[in-house]
Amino acid sequence: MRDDDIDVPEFMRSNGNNNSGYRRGGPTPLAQYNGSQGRGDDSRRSSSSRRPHVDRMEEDLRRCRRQSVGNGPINTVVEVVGIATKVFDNLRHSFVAGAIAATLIVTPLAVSLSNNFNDSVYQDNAIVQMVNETISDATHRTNSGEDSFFYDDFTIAGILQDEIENGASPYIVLGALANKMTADYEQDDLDNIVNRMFNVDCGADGLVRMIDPERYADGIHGDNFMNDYKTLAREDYRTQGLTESDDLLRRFYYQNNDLTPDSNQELSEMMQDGEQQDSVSNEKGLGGK
Amino acid sequence: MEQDIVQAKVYSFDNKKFVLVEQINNYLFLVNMKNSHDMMIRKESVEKPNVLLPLDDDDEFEHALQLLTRKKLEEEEDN
Repeated sequence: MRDDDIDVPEFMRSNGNNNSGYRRGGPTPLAQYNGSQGRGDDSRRSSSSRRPHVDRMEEDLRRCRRQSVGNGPINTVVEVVGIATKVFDNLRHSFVAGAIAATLIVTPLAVSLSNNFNDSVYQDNAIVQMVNETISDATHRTNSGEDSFFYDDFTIAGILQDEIENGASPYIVLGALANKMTADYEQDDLDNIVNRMFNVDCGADGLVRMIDPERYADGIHGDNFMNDYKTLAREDYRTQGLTESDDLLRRFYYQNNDLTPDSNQELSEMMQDGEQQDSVSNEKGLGGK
Repeated sequence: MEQDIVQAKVYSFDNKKFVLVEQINNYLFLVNMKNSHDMMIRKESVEKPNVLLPLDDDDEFEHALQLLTRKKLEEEEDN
C-alpha cells in the first residue's frame, strides 16, 4: 500500500519533495548523523543544544526500528490480561508520540530520523560501528581548549589494519573512515591513516582513484565512492560489482604491506592501469615498497 | 479505590511482555510493559497468531509509523 492509497497528507508523503522539508531515501553524510558516537562539529553542536528528551525519543525510535525490521519471526505466548487504563494509555502514548515525532515536519527530529533511516541500516554494519568506535577511542582532547581534539593516527591505522587482516572488508573500513572524517581540518589525519594502513603515499583520494579512476574521480568523499561504500555496507558484501572492488583493495592491501609472499602480477597490472588512467589526480601512485 | 481496567493482548517472549497498544491493518504496535522506551512494530501472522512477523524494510517501517500518525490525527480531529 502506498501513500496515495491511505491518503497521507502531502507534507508527509515520502516522495522527497524538497518543498515539504520531509526528505526520505538516499544516504546523507555521516556528519549529519546525530548519534552518540559522533565526534565532529555537528555531533558536538547537536548534543549540547538539543534537549535530552528529543535525543531519547530518537534513540527509542532507532531501537524500535532495529527490533521491527528484518529480525525474523518471533514465537510468543499470547494472552489477554487486564491492565489499568492509565498504564495502558501511558504505554500507548509512548508509541504515538514517537510516531508523530518521526512523521511530522514540525520538529527537526522528524527530518533527522527520516534521513537516518537508511543511514542507520549501514551504520548497523559491524565494520562501520567498529571504525566509528576506533576513531572515537583514539580521539583525544588537547590541553589547549575544550573543543580541541587530535587523532592518534598511528593507533587508528594499527587497529584498522588488524581488523582487515582478521577479515573486515577494507572497502567498508576505508569508506567508514572517510565518512567519519569529513571536515577540512581532518583531511591530513585521514591521509596519514590511509597512507599508513595501505602503505602508500598517495592519500585517501589517490587510493580510491586507483580503484576506479573514472568512477571515483571526485575522490573519497565524492558521491560515487560514498554511495558505493554504503551500498556495500548495507548489502553485507553481497552487492555484485562492488565485491570486485573490495577484493581488489584487499589484495592491494596485502601486497603493499608485504603480507603475502607472492606479489600478484595481475593486481599490479590492474592498479597500474588505473594509475595511468587517472587524469584527475597527479598523486604519486602506489607508493609503498 | 477501584481502577479502570482495559483488556489488552500481551505477547510474551524472552522473559519480556509486550502489550499491544494499537493494531492497524495487520500491523501490531507493541510496547514493553516494564519499559515504555522498548517498542516494536510487527506484522500479524494469519496462520499463527502467536508469531510476530518482521517488517520487510525501512520503507515498511516508515509506512507503519505514518499509519499510526494518521490514525492519531484523525482521532484528534474527531474529538
